[in-house]
Amino acid sequence: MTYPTSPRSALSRRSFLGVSALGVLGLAGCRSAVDQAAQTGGASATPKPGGTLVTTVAAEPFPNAYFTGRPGNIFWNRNVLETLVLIDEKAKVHGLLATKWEFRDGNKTVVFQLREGVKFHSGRDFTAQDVVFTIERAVAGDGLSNLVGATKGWQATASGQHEVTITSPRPLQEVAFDILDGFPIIDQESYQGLQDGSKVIGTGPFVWSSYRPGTEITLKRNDSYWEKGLPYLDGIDVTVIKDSTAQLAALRTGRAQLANGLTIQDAKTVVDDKKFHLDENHGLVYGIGFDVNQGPFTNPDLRRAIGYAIDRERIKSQVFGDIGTITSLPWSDNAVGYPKDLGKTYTFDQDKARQLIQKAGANGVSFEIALHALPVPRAIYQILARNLADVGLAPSPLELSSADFEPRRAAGKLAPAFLTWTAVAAQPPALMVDALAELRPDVNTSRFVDATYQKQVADLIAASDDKATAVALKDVSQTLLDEAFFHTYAIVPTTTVRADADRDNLIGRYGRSMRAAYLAG
Amino acid sequence: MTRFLLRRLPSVLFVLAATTVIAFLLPRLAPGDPAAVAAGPDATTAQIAAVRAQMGLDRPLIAQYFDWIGGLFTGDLGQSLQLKRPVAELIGDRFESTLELTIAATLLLTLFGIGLGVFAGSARRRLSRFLADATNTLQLSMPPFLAGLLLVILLGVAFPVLPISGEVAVADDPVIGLQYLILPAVALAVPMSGGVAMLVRSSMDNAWRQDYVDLAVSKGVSRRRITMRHVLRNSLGPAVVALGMRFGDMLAGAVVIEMIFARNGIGQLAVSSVQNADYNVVQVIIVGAVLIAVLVQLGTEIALAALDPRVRLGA
Repeated sequence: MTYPTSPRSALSRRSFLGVSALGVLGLAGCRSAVDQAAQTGGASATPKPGGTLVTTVAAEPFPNAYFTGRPGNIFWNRNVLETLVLIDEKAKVHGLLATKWEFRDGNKTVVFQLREGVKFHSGRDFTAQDVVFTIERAVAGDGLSNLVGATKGWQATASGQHEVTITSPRPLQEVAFDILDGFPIIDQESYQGLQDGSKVIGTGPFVWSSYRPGTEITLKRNDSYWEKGLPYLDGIDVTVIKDSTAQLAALRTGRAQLANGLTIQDAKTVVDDKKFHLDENHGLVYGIGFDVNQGPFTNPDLRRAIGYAIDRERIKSQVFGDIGTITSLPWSDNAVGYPKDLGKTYTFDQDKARQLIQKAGANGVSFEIALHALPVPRAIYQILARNLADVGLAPSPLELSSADFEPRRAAGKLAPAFLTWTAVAAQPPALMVDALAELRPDVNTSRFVDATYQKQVADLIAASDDKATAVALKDVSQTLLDEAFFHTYAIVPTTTVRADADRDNLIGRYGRSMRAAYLAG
Repeated sequence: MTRFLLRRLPSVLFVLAATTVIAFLLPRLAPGDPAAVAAGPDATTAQIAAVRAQMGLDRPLIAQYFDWIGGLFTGDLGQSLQLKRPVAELIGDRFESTLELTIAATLLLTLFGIGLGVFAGSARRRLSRFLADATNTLQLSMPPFLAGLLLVILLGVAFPVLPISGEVAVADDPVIGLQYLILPAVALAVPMSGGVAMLVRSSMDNAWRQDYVDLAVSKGVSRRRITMRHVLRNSLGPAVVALGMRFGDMLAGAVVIEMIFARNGIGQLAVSSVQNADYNVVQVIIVGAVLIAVLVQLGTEIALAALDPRVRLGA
């Protein structure tokens, strides 16, 4: 049977035009969200007041981790809380809440003169007691401080209303500023509010205004900031965007002006040094470690062989976009007493690697390498696996989530080999031997326990001047290279992508773009 | 209908009770230690143990389970292990975003799915049928994440007409809020509407062959009237069932869409909670998801009975 077709069975032309006209009128009358987001535009070479800086991070902020450097905290921590001192990108120390300092008693005491006229956001005056309180909390491990070992035995006393004396059983000249740069001064009346972000009071240029846990932080200008005329910005928004594509979209559309957490490959898809710039910050030490108590890495020859088998240049080029430094030592080359002759000990030499593997009787040996289930460690593993296969070894990956990797790392129960990356780059060696789990003398990820190494580390920590530091550092470095329980292969900066479209000087205080206050607009 | 709901109550309660046990155990069976995540990298075992004790995770599992269940009955959903905030607050904060996206996507899914299905089921001209088939094939072959990325590139970057990052609550600013909602909702709904459209078309093709349609035609009833009054109504049953099933897919797809468009919904909370081994949040979200699925299933049966008087509730 055929079915009748009615002249009214199709949408009539009149109806179609009517609906279309309504649509056009509707659109014409609407405000555009795209235009609204783009209204922050306009390049400026000099700071100008006003505006809200929108930043994105790829990890959630954790206000309760105020004494440690969590990626999600980098854009709010130093804008709300302030430290006594701040170390700039050139490793120069600047006074912030401290104006002067003096080392005494063989460098085991440091006396700080504090800035006067500083107030907490609650209106209370900042005094020496606040510094004493902060140090006590940090030493006790509050704020998830990972420098409890380094600050063991520290005592802080208020030797005046604006003078603080810090004493330590160990010399402080190498480590004090780096440690204090990581301890923002907290308000003793409200610090419990830091646990859940319900109340965050500091002395910084911005006030904690609102907080949606895991999502967003809004900071507003502190009109009573101690440095008159600052900050220029009205506010800072910190938004969590975990996905790289979404972060790039936020940058491209002008929604955000600063983005942290992109891999270097993703960042380079937008960075063109015109509209978008790449800022480098103190970064990460990448290395491969070995469990020296389980086969096959009980043999130091095999461990050394791997040092020669790694193609560090290829890792730097293909994984890190040619950014960073390839090295055999975890310390920065500007560290006091840095042993320049040892920095390039392990070069890419496959013949040497094969000889050492032959000597260790480890031809064809198979083993697992534990790594974080993340893009960068995976990419590094692929290169490493190829390098090791080329010299006659048979590695296989053991990918672990961060929640699984970290407790195993702390307990020394990772695989026979493991890849790590830790944000300790540019720390002084005397601090890094405590902060970096792989280098700790008593309990480390490699389970390497050696009386000589322990003594050398103790000498490094106890070194009271530059000469003693240089001697101790050389000894520690030599042992590290000889025993080869942890090979550093790269020190790579963390990066922030900065938009140029809005203002040209979105750089924080003293050139740092992370953990720095965004004062300039 | 009350009798129907009362008869279903025991099975619903049983499903929910079993779900609480699974929701409690499943995150704990997965590798990972929330205390280690909270303590951060480079924490020592002593520091991790201290954090674990603070979280109460060193207590026996049975005690933890009954504490949690007791809290559920009193409306206390527990506290996030990582964010230190009530789980209810975290979910409530994101609920509006997810609700907006789900409602918008459901409306679009219904509109596109049934609309395309009706068009395909009514079309007589070859060109119309071809267009309907081609659109349907495109919808079926394009997953939501691909649709989202294409929309981002096309309408967000190449020809920026709509925002592709972030969100504004529709309740706060309807004009701007809807603009932020359009692309994510389209990306989520349109690919899924292909399956619904196919079902509607197939049901309509079948309905057109029934005797009552022959009778209507022989009585001279217009095609439009036959379509709307007889064919469509009898074809919507499978579509309603498909819409109900798609609702669950939509919640899953929303996680990816939220990520692409940087929306902070419950999907994103679920993903980050799993990554951070935040047991308390994951547990509540699992139970919530099952509860929603059960309610949607009940709603589907009721809607089916309303559409077709031959269907008796609970039969």
